[in-house]
Amino acid sequence: MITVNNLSFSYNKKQPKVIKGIDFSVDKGEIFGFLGPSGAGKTTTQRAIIGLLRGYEGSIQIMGRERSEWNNEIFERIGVAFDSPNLYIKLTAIENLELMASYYQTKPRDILKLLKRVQLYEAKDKKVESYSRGMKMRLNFIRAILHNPTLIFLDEPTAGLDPVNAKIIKDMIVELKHQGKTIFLTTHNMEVADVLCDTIAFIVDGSIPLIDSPKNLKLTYGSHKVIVEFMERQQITSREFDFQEIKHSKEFLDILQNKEIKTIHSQEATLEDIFIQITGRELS
Amino acid sequence: MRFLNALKSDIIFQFKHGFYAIYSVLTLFYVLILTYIPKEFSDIIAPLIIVSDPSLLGFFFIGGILMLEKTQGILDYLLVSPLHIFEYLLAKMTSLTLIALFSSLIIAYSSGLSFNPFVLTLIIIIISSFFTLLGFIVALQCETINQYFVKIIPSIILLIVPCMLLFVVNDLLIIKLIPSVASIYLILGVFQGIYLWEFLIYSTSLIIFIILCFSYIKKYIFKILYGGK
Repeated sequence: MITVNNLSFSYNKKQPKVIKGIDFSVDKGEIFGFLGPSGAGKTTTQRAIIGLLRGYEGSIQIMGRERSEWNNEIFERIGVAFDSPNLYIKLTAIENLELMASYYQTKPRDILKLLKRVQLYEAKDKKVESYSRGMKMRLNFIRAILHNPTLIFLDEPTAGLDPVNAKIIKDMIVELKHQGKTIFLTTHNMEVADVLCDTIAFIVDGSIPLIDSPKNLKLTYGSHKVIVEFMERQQITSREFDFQEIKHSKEFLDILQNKEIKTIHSQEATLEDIFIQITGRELS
Repeated sequence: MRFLNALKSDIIFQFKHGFYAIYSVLTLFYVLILTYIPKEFSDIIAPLIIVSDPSLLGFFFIGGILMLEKTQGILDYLLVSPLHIFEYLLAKMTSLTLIALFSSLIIAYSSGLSFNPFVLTLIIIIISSFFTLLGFIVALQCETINQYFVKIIPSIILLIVPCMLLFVVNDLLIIKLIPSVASIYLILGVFQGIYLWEFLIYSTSLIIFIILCFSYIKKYIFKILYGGK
């Protein structure tokens, strides 16, 4: 769906490059996460792929054609939700969606159904200027998928959302993937990336030091140990065992059989741990 | 079809933000002036009001509209929609020209002067289009309305100084080809008569400037908004 080869970009000839020869590809039906701290080059890369930045070096193949060769018709097949809402604040939610849907040839999805799904149905006739940031973000999200695009760019889609609404959006993103849509997700929220993404690319200072699935990353970079917490002499005690030795460890088996177990945890690393380990930088 | 939808969006946007209300009041104010001034002054005051009308409207309203679109993120969104930049600009020009036209015709009729409404319509369309595009170019490079009011000063000086020069030298063709001066001659011509060749020269000059503005916006809009080479 997207193949990026040796992509470089600088905002000014005299300034250093903000994207430094990155390579990656996104398969159809995949949720691809671009994870990095602010200023790492996430938004710049996303803008270059979408077509908002001109004069990039290298190649961006999108849906089988170089990005620069596409005209505006590509936007019939692309949906974009930026990290801040893009809405007519003096119009209602319905008016916003109807107006924006009118720019597309594709028949829009059921507006009322979408509004219900993101819990905006009751506020559908209110002007957007009276909405909270979370409500605007939800409306922004459904506006991006209204024309049923095959490739969707989401920049921090859960920013400003409470846990309930963040879950609704995350569920909808997974549903879109199941419908065969490809999703390019830009975030610095490692929890969102971990839960949603099939593949994650770490980006720091315009370079991508690592690309893999969250599961592989956690297996590769986590420590292969299990920590067991159990009651002993009326106190919680913990023991650490290596994966390789637990099946032969008499102590481990003894604890399992004879002690009151409180917790058992494998020590897989979080994406944030791995990010710091690989890049020496923190995500936020 | 997309253009018509963009035009509809612009009209709704301008209406909801009170642009029509402001202009109705302004038009009423102009009409009152023309009603109360002596008839002998109307000959010069009415054309001057009308020439300032589409130019000021295009120049100032487009700044306000673009700033509002930028702060609401609308422009960012429209640039990633199938709407072509040409359709987007045409909708802006048409919506603002419609207000200018409506207002100019009311002012012209209330002046009591004789004129050809079709010629006035044509001229208003040309003048309004140029000033809307010029205002758009300036507004594109601003983030706030205050910044816009500062950045339009050089453009206003470049447009007003040649008009002032008319009091000193009024037979230099090069000055007459400057959009602001060409606009004055065209509007005066509507009420006082104009030779066809003069009409064609002034109109062509404005149309060339319109094409130049269009080309500039099409070529540089992404660079101005998002940076890059």
